[in-house]
Amino acid sequence: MNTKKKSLCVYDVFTRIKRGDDLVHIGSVEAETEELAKVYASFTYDEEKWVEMLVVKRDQIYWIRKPEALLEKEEA
Amino acid sequence: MGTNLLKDKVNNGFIVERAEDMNEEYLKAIKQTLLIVGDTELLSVPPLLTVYDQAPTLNHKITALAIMQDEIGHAHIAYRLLKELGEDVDELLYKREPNQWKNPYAFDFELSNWVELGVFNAYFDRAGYTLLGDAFEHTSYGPWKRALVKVDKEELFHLRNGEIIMKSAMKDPELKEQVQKASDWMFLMALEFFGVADDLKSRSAQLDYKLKGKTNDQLRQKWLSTAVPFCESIGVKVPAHYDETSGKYVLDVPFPCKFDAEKKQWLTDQPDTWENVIKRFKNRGPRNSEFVERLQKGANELENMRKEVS
Repeated sequence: MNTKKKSLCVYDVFTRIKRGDDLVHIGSVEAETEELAKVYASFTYDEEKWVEMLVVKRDQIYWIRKPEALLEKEEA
Repeated sequence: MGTNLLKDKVNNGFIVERAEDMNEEYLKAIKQTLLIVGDTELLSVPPLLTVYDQAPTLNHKITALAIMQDEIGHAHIAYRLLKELGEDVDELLYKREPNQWKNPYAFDFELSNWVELGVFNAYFDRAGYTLLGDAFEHTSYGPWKRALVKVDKEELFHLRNGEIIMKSAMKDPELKEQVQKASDWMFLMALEFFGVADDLKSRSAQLDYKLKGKTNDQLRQKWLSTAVPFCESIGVKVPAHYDETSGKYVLDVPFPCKFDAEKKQWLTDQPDTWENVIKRFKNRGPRNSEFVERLQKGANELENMRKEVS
């Protein structure tokens, strides 16, 4: 249907409210390009006057550890 | 069984982070909840748009637009969470029939004037603030809890905006009447947001799995405990009062009762059952199709154009 969808990627959004605060993961957006991801993130997550705000393409994040799954996988 | 392990865990403070922490029941309940939340946020916008061009000043207009932008942002958050749980959000947004949407019945109406937008914010956003504030405090689903930081903050701003509009309108004899008229249909509508009475449905997966903390009636009381004093303080008459002996807010009219959708009027001489109310919800209100189609129009037009050229 939508040919552009093929390149749609998830970007995670991180912000710091003021200097000295922790950098916090506040949400995510989906976008075709980094530039669009930046625009979507700044319009969607405008609840604070962030001193710092960034997006990271999810496939560029490498997990070292994830919360241990509570339940055994019942089926694949 | 997985079911009980998870129930026990979340009731002892366990926070669910991943799909692998969930059983089928939990997954179903959180998806249902997030769909109601997303639909509610998104479909609050079309009714607000029906009067936004009646804003008395440019500042009012900017505020109204900021509120609508917030609501779309909140919807985005709920739908993002749904997508991460495996739902096809494009399908939900652009392919779903209007009567399948889960927004409150109250949002299927156009507003009559600017003052109604104020009462909408003061009553309905207060209901949202009450419901989501409870989820923020109690929910066992980590990703949702974190997302609600933003929502909680912004809904409070919306309801304060509504209070400011109501308060200032009460100083003008003509607008004062509009406030009362809006309140007369919106007050009970807001109470219906919280759903079926506890004596009919005391437990639910939402409560068992701690997706929320308080029961429907407890949440209704919470809404009343801030809405009624506010209305009394500005001279708006509402069909509820605080009862000293029970320590609760009680309604002065039958609830639920029948509603005349055409006149936007409660028929307080005709008590109704929750069963019928649910039927009324499912039949949807007068503007349901129009509002949903408005949201779907652009996507469908674009898809058709793509089909033409391919």
